[in-house]
This record gives sequence, C-alpha cells and structure tokens, in this order.
Amino acid sequence: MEREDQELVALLLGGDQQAFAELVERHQRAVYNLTYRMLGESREAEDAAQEAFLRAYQHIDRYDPERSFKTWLLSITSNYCIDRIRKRRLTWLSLDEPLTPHPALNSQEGKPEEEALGNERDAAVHAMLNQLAPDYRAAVILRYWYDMSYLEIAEMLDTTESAIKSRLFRARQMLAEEARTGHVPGMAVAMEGA
Amino acid sequence: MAHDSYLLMISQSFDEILPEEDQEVLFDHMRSCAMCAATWTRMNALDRVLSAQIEVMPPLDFTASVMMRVSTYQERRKWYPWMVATLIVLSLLAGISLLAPTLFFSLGLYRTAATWPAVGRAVAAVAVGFADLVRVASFLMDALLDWLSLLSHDPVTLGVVVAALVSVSTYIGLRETLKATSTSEAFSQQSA
Ligand SMILES: [Zn+2]
Repeated sequence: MEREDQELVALLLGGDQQAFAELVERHQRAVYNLTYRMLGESREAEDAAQEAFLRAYQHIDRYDPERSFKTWLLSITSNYCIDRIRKRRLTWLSLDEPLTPHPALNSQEGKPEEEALGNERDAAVHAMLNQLAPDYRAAVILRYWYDMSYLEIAEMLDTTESAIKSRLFRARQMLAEEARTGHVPGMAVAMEGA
Repeated sequence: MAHDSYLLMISQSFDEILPEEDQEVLFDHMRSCAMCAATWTRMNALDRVLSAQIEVMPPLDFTASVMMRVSTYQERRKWYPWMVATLIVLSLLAGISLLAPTLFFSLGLYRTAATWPAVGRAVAAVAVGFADLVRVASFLMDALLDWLSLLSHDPVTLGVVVAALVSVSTYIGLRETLKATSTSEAFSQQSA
C-alpha cells in the first residue's frame, strides 16, 4: 500500500495527473474526516479538504518518499485546519456557530436507529471538541480517530512528544471538567450512553 | 504525590503508555481518593465517546472537485511567467520613457543628435527654443526673487512700496467716487 503511494507520487512528479487523482481517491476519506472533526461543519470541511489536497499537489516536490504519504498529507491537513480556525477566530465567525451534521454521516454499525443515535452523539462530540484550542483539538483527533502515537502526532504538528502528552492531558482534563459542569449540550448524555 | 501527577497518570493510562507499576500506584491511590476516582470515571466515559468512531463520507464528486482546483491552479501557473514578463516589459518601457528626455538633454545627448543632418536641424531648433525659454523664465524668476529679497531686507523700500500702493488705491477710489457723483448730478439736471 505504502509503496503504491510512493509509486503514484513518482508518476505525478513525472507529470501524470491521473496519479494524483488516484491519490485523492485513496485518501479522501482520511483527509475529509480530519477536516470535518477539526472544523465541525460539512461545507467548510469539504472546502478545507480540497484546499489541503491542492497544497499537497503544490508542494509534492517537498515530500520525502521515506515517510508515509498519508502521514504527510494529514500533517498538511491538520496544520491547515489549525490556521483556518485561528483565522476564523479573528473574524466575526465565532465559536458559537451552529453545528450541522453531515447528510452522509454514516455509522460503522449501519443500522438506521443506531445511525440516528450516532448523529446525536456526533453533534455532542463536535460541541466538545469545539471547546478546545485548535492545536489541542488536532492532538485529540489524531489520537482517537487516527490512532496515532505521541511521536507521530508530534512530528505532524511540528512539536515535541512531551508537548503532545501534556496537550492530551489538558484536553482530557478540560473535557472532563466540562462534562462535570454540564456546559456543553448533549455531552453528559453522550457520556452516559458510552 | 500531588493530585495533578495522578491525573496525568490517568491520561497516560488511557493512551496505554503508563508502565504497569505506575498503574498499580494509580489504582492504590484511587481507592482512597474520591476526587481522582471521579476524574477517572469521567475520563473513561470521555475516552469511550471519543473512541466510538463514526466515519463521515466525502461527497461523491470530491475527487473531481479537487482535480478542478488543480487544473485552475495549473492554468494560472501557465500564465504566470507571461504575466511577470509583461509586467517587467511595461516597467522597463515606463522607465525608458521617463529617463529618455532627461538623458537626452541633461547629459548633452542632443549635441550628438544635432550632428545628424535633418534630425540635427530639428533637434537643434527645439534645443535652442527650449534654451531661450529657460533663459527668459530664469531671468523673470531672478528678478522676482531679487525684488522680494529687497523688500524683506530694506524697510525703507518696503515703506515706499506700501505707501505707493496705499496712494494708488486711494487715488483710484476717489476717482471712481467722483465719476459716480458727477454722473448722478448730470442725471438729476436732465430730469429737472
Ligand atoms: Zn487524588
């Protein structure tokens, strides 16, 4: 799988555009899920995911074939999302913007009633993540959704392992405190159901 | 050990990086500390919520949209060198058109041009005309400056000039008044 990615990159460097389309096809879910978790809104997530792929395309000559292409791509995506959230905070779009669940939201279980439950829990998770600063949010998402190690997350976010350790600790502490005080709607319910 | 270090241990235990002996220490502490035990329960619930993965699917036309962006980018990049070249040529032309007259006259290039037969005569005429114009303008300018400096340095001259201006304006004023009076008298005599 990894070797195939590197082959496609080599083809792309040789001018084969179809090779890039293949890479997009292959990694679109990983990238889109990351932007969706980071930004919490499907239209913005789609735009950010497209932009992340474009950036990867523009800087493909900087990609080190020794590393995993997916990790490199997700690193571009998470850093882009962090920047985007920071910029968004500077504008009138505040943290309180409404969260719209994605129509294509699909739970892995697949049963309709579980999907509905999943939607509700998903909204609660978004509300929780929204409480965190963008670099904390990225660390939590990469840890839980991508099952990455501290070292991998540190490399992706261009920081140290101990910084990631403390970010995850602080994030958990903050979220646990939010759950106790019940400031985030749906969070307590989601955690009871867990 | 302070509670904070146990809380850090709780976080690490959920990341499955806490050594077994520390795990023992943590659980021992939680048996006697209700606060840390409650935090563990909350973090555990949180861990389960976050671990329950729900995958979202990108739109069906996602790859096509990305490739569209890529081709727009390439299109723009294709024109980029031409845009830069055009900009350079335009700034060069602007520079030349600004510099040419300056070089032509101030560096004396017109003298060389004047040695060419037909062009030479035309250029010479323009140069002579321009030089005359400059001479007249600088003479007038010098006169004005001399006059102003005389006024500002010599109080007697200034007094004379001011007095002359006052006399002239008084004379004009009086003459106009007299003219108006005689006209109205003539009028009244006619009508009488
Ligand atoms: Zn304690």
